[in-house]
Amino acid sequence: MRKLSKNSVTNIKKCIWLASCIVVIMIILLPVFWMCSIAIRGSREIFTIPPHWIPEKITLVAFKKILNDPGFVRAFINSVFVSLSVTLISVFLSGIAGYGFSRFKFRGKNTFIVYMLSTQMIPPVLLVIPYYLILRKTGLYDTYAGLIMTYLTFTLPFCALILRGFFANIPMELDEAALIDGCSRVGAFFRIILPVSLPGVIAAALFTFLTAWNQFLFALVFTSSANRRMLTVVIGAKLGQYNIFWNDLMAINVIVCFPLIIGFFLLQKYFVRGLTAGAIKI
Amino acid sequence: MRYKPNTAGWLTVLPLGICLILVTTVPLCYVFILGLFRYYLPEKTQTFIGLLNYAEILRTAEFWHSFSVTIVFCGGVIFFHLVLGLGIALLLNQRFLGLEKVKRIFRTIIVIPWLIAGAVSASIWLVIFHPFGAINTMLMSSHLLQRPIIWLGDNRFPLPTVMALYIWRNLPFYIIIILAAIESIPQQLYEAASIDGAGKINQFLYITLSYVTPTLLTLGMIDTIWSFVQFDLIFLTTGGGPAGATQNLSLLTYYTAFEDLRFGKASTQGILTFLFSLVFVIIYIKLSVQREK
Repeated sequence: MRKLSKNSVTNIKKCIWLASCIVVIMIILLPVFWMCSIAIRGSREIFTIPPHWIPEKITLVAFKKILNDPGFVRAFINSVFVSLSVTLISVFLSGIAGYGFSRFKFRGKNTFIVYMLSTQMIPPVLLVIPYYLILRKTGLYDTYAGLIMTYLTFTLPFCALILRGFFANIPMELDEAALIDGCSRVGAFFRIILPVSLPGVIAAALFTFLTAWNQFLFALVFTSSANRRMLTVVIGAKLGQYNIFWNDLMAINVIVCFPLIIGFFLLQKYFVRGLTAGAIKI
Repeated sequence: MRYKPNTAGWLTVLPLGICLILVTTVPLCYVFILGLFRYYLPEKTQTFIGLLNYAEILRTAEFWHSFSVTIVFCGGVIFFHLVLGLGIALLLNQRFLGLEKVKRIFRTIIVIPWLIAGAVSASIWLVIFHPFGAINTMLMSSHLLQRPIIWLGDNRFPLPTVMALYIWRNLPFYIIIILAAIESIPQQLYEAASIDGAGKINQFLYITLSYVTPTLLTLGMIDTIWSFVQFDLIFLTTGGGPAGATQNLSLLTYYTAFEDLRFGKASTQGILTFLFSLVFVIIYIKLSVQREK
């Protein structure tokens, strides 16, 4: 009898906990839900009083319109290309460095880590000014190369710090075993360490891709022609228009953020670990 | 070929080091030089004026106004991030048999706002806080409001509204990190404490809070660095307006450079922003080191 009442108390606690969690999460996700809800309605139903949470008529009209807009498709390709290039370069350079950080003791190592951390403290807007002049002078203004180069300022240190955390978690014995078996250092890295740490590398790549994909200020200042416009700048330009079709804009938003959200769900486990390793274990 | 560890270590970090110096340190040095010049872009002439830019900027009311906007923004945002982050992390941390899967789902989907681009979240906010958007129509149809509030254009609400946007967007990051810190607390501590007769509140104060405080301090520092130089959310929602009410130092610098085209002055403003954020970070580190002693 006593056990039963104890059980029901825990059940009530469970229900309260579940309910409060759901309320909190609903509040946090409400704006995201609102975005999706507006993206699937026609232009007539955007501002109704009181607002309809779920549109009466669900239509994909906005998505069709957006996907037929060559400017948007171009911006999508630009964003994919630049973000992918930045990711590849960052992961390659930071992977080697991260491996070195976790495996070797060398003079100046800590100084270098502090240097990497301190570069992350530079306000982006401070770098934009000299970069604008440099890119103008070197002819890299409004080119992919210029964008990729400037994006590296914030992805490189970030990526290196995350990867250092991942490599540090792989036991040294693995390398040693490979070295004893006659593998070279480079061979040990590519044959043993890289496959083992692949999930971490993928998570770091996703992280880097995310920051590059979401970057706004650099994309805004360092491009001018419609051919080099990035997705975030397209959204920014739409916001400045006098007559905005909110459903179109939200459809763009959905297309911009859903690839990342799906990628995140697939790699969730590593992502959170990378987040904590990169940010806290300094 | 075998190298000594020292050489091998250097060889691995060399490419990254060279790249980093090229892409960050070189432009940084350049901007420090630029700050010493009068450089109005259309004129194409640069005159060396020493520290006159600094003297001039530190005397303008506009700069100090932006400074106070930055401080208010930063302080408010950090406070809410840490308090809400801790609160929600504690809520999510509850352990119930049979609900582990639900918990995992919760902590996965709570991250979504953090994944969304600044431009996207700014545009969502513009829709929600539009004079005829969801917030106003909801408040009006429940008769809490007579007339719509112009959230982003009035003279009282814009700053709190963009702060709310920033708090919302980055909150998941704080929740996740604090949650990870809470989960690393050994369970035995709580068991021992409850055997000794400590209540839930004392357990929270003496175990949870004291374990989590270093993480909170680090997060506070990270948040100082990030929110001090926040640009895109404010730029895309209010553009610094109305009448400069939300114009923080980053926006001020941006406008001086790319609207007034005064690159020398803008460089100086940017440098001052950087130095102020450094001062805050150093004070922060000093305080947390003292605490640990």
